[in-house]
Parts: sequence; C-alpha cells; structure tokens
Amino acid sequence: MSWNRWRRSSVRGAAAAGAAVALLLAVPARAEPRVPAQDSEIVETLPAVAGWSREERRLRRELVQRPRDAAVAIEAARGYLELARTQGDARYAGYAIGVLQAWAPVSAQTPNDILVMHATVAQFLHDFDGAEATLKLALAQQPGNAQGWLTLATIQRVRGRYADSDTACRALVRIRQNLYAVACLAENAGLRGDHPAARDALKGLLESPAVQDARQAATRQWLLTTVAEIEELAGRPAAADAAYRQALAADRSGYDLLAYSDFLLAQNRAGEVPALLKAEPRSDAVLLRLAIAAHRQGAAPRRDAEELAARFEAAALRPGTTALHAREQALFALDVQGDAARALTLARLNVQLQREPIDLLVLARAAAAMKDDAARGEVKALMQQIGLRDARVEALL
Amino acid sequence: MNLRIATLLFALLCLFTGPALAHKASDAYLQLQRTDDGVALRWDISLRDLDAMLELDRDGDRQLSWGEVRTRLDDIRAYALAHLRLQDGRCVLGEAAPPALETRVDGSYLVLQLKARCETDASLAVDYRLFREVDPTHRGLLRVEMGDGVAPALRSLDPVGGPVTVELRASAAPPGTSFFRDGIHHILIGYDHILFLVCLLLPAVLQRRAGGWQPVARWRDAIWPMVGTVTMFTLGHSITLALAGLQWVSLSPRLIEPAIALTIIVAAVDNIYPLLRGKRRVFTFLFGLIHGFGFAGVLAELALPVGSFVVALLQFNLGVEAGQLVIVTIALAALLAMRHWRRYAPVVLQGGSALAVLIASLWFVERVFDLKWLPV
Repeated sequence: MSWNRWRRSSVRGAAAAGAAVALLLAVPARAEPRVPAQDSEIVETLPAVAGWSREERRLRRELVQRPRDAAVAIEAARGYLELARTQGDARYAGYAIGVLQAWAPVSAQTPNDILVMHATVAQFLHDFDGAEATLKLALAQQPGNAQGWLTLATIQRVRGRYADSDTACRALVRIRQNLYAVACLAENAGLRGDHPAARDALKGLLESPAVQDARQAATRQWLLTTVAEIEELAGRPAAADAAYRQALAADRSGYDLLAYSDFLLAQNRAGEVPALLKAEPRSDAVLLRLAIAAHRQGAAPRRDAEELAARFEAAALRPGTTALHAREQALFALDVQGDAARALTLARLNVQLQREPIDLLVLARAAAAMKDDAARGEVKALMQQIGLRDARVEALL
Repeated sequence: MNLRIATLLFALLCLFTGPALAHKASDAYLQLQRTDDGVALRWDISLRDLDAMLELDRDGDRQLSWGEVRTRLDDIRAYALAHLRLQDGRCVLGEAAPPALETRVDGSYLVLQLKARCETDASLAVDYRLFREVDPTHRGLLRVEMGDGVAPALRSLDPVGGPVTVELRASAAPPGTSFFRDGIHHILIGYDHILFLVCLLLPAVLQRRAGGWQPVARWRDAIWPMVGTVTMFTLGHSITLALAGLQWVSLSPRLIEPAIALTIIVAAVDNIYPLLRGKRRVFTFLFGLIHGFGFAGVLAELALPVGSFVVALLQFNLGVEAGQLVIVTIALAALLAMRHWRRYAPVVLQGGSALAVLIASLWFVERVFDLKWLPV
C-alpha cells in the first residue's frame, strides 16, 4: 500500500491504541532514496541561533576533556534545552540529557545543580515522575535552591496536585524569593477559583518597582500571561484579551503566543491566528493552531494539517509515546479531523499524565461533542478531585 | 539582570512548554532482512544527529550541503558501524549500495544500505549503541521483514540498553512453507505436466483385450496399476529435479521444453495405437526424467536460500507431488465414473488422446521455433 494512501485511510479511522499498532505494522517501504547530483545542494538546515553553533562546539570539546565538569555540562544542557524550547524539537532535550549522563544514574551524591538541571529536562520531556523524584533528592540536600522549588511547584500544579504545589511555593517564601512565591501561590489560587485574590496578588507584583526595569520585560510578560489565564478561568474574555495584549507588548515568547492563539480560537477569532504565529518555528504546537485556524476559516489550505498528521504518525512509530502527544492529538482529532470519539479516547489518556485547564477543557469538549453523559460525569469528578474551577469547562457540563 | 533571576527565568520559560510537547525525539530507522547468505540492512540516520556527533557543518553556516556530507561519508560509516554489532561481531556489515538521502517529517536522513555475510539462525543478537554519547533518549526503530504475508517484527533499540535478541522469522511461518506452496502452484499451472498425467490416466480405467478396450470390473483394478505408473513418473522427475536443482546436471530449456511436448505426443498416441508395447512403466519413468528438468527450471527462478537449499528442494518436490496427487485423484474419479459409458473408448480415450496429440504438437512447434499460438 502506498505511503500516502495508507496515511489518508489511517488518519481518518482508528482509535488511539489501535492506530498506534496499525502504524507500527503498516510502515511501508518508502520511495527510493536519492543521491544529490551537486555537491552544492543544501540537504539540511540546522537550527540557527545566534552564537550557539560556536558555543556548542566549544562546550562539546570541553566536555570531551572534562566530562564531569558540572559547570560546563549545565551550560551545555541549558543551551540545548533552550534550543529544544525555541525550535520545538525534542531531540535537543535528548542532547541535554546526553551532556548530563556522566552523572547517570542520579543519586543523592550527584551535585545539586546537576540534579535540578536533570529534572528540568525531564519535565520538559514530560517525565514527571522522574523529575519529581530527582528534585526531591536535590531539595533534601539544598533547601535553598529556588529553581528546584519552582520547578517542583509547577510539575505538581500541572499534575493537578495544588496542595503539594502550594507547599513548594511556600518554600520559596522561606528562601526570600517573594516575587516567585507570590506568583506561584496566586496561580494556584486562580486555578481553585479564587480569582480576585489571584488577580490582586499578580497586579501588586506588576506594580512593584522590581519589575519596572526594561530588563524585567520577560518577568512582566510571564505575570501578565498568568493574569490572562486566570481571567479565562473566571470567564472574563475581555479582561483576558487585554492582559494577553499587554503581555505580548512586554515581550513575545512562544508560550505566550500559543496561549493567546488558543484564546482567539475559543473566541471564534481564528482569522487572527495565522498572523500571530507566522514568524514562529513550526513546532507541533504551532502547526496545530495553524491547522485549527485554517479549518475554522473553511477554504484555507490543508498543508499544515497534513504535515501535522504525518508528524503524529512518525512520532507514533516509537513505542510507548502515545500519551506524550495525546493532548495535541486530541485537539487535532476534535478541531481538525472532526473525530470526537477519537478525541475523547486521547483526552482521557492525556489527563492520566497532565491536568492543566487545557487538558480538562479538551476532555469536556470531546465529551460534549459525543453527548456522552458518563464522560461528562468523569470530567466533573476529576475537576472536583483536583479542585479546579474553570468557567469554560463548567459551561460544557 | 542578576544571575539568580536569569536562572529562575530560564527555568520558568522551560516550564512553560505549556501547550506543546515538541516534535518527536531523535530516531533512526532500521529495516532488516534475512538474505541467502546473511542479512541486509537499510539504516536511516538523521543528518541533524550526525552533525551533533561529527560536526559535518564544516563552514559553520548552519546549512549542510551534500558536499559537506559526502566528504565525511567515511567518518559517518565508521562511526555508525562501530555502534552496531550483530551476532557478537560475527556478522560484519559492509556497504551494499552507496549512501543516499531520504526526507522525513523531521528533516533529511542519510540512508546507509548495508549487508553482511554470516550464519544466522532464527534469531540475531543486536547490540545498538548509536548516539549513546550525545543522546541517551535516541532510539533505533527496527523493523524486521518476515517475508510473504507475515507482519514485520518491530523493536525499539535503546543505545544504552545493551544487546537484544531479534527474531528473524516468525514461528508461524517456518522456512520453506512457501517452497511447498510453490511446488503445488507449479504443477497446477503446469498444463503440459497435467496433460501428460491425463494421457497416462485415460486408459487406466480400461483393459486392453484381444477384442479391444473393456472397462475394468472393479475400481481397484484401475487404482493399483495407476499408482504404479504415477510412482514411476514421480521417481523419474524427482531424480532429475534433484540433479538439476543441485546443479550437477544442467540441460537447456530449449531442449527440455520441446521434449516434454514430445512425451505427451508419445503417451497420447500410445493410447490410440500401441506404440510402447506394454513397456509403459519404463517409458513413464524415462519421461518423468524429462519432466523433472522442467520443474527444475522453475526452481531456479525462485532463488532458493543457499543455506537450506536441500530442505527447500525437498519441500518444492513434495509440493509438486501433493499437487499431482490432487490432479490424479480428481481425474481418476471422473474417469472411473465414466468407464461403463459405451462410447468411452472411441470418444474419451481416442478422441481425448487425439486432442492431446494436437495440443502437444502445437506446443512442440511453438517451443522449437519459439512461437506463441496457444494461450498457455
């Protein structure tokens, strides 16, 4: 069966697990590989980040000389993780793990900075259990590690464990990282539905002299994005829109643009999404928003959707990775393929791993699209168990 | 911005991978196949990963040209081959075709086409270590071709996971089942062999008496002589099939194919006019020798495995015999049912034989002069 024919037929059909198995079985022999005729032909473009290429080679050479030099390894790991984040290419997170493997397997004897870096990469790769365990090792040795506590608080929040997350946030108070501590607790308060308290706390931080400096633009952007998300939870789209715009005016980051894209899509403003994302690296997340926007606008080109489907197929070839992509695949099934049943299966799988508002929202939307009362009940129970209040989800139940 | 804030902010940015887990991680693709004398392997490796390991981008412009890749092929091959050991080093991979490029969803891949000559049994020990220095999350996605109608086996190879054993053939399809099938298939579509068998069978339900042909009284009187005749044919063609299959004797199809047509003519004429004078069994054996060379011609086209050649040959032959048994059983049952028909001898025996002579004569002329008149 030809690759394309097979791809088209499979994308339509099967359920998550079934599809993964079918993909594994049906990978056909591809077209004949080719040999370029000209030496000058460009065969691959490597990610270009100013200065990184030379820096990367320098760090690699130093690590060949001294593989257990923690400072060099952390610098290299940070560079790779940054590359993974900006390029949306998970292979560079793998390289980050690679430069840290001189300390593998990690233990209580591993230097704390290595432990925290390792956990940061692990959480990027959605290995939440591994990241939490590594962080706890590090924080037991060095309770003053702010990055460690902040990472732990975030992982626990993503997994829907707000009480644990609060505990980690309060540890930041103890080590006098007040700005981060207050923002950390405010975000949890917002998720629980205490919107006024969250809003006031974040606005207070935004007015503080510490973040007025031009060099604090990224911090302001982060705080404003958190405000916008809390306004969305509160069901106040106008306030959310204003906060998102302020955040983008302060600084533009990939996360911010994606969150605002999701907001625009939810507000039936799909037409604004392509312009917002056009300069972004074409990560899976960016392509997904572009594909949904194109679908909503009707006659738009299908290229993004096809490319994304091909990427999901390629990712599914590696066993045991379905859950890692389940959020994006559920959104794709629901908003591009119009396959609510498949979306529901994937969204259910996804909330086993992560429980952010977007995860509960896609589950609730799939349940509503299927008119599945049992699934709606599951969402309601899960919301209660987590303690999450989200006006968008509640409107669907 | 002081260092502490910078560090924290970096952490924050990383935490906000938020609604996105990016592209897939680093994978290489391996397609493994057992061959006559070892294994064949197609190995697709990402150029991005190769650059991280071997610094292919010589001019540092973040663009890889084919020249930059091509001039480093020796290093790439050496690196890759040092990171894949088969059968504890007993299967040494070498190049089967020059490296080429393949485009996949996450970029360009270098395709290494490799082969190894070595003994493999039902399994292969694979020690995969590609990119273990740079990326322990890398995986080699191995696909083992199992042959006709059997789903390929899939395996994810972990570069830090140590050697694994890979099954080369599913137990559901033991080697050679297909050669048995090929044997059956060949006799069933070998119309000349079938026609020859039918010519032998036509008179089997009759007995030649002074006053002409008489039907046998009991079916057993037809079966046992027939078993004897078919056995002689089988003996004959098995001998030459083996001789030709093992390449001890070789005869040109230009000779064999017309000769087969000739055997049909002789057998058919003998049904009308006693040519062989009661020496049918001897002649059947001799004719069997000729037909065996015909089977061997097909066998050569099937490309039997060198390692298990004798087994494959035996299976092909058993397939031929099984197909022959089916034909003989059906034809004999039909002829036995018809034998008391008054006009069996003139219509079925003599008419049928005459028709066989005609067809075989056409085949003979076709095969001698390399013409094509008949549809088969």
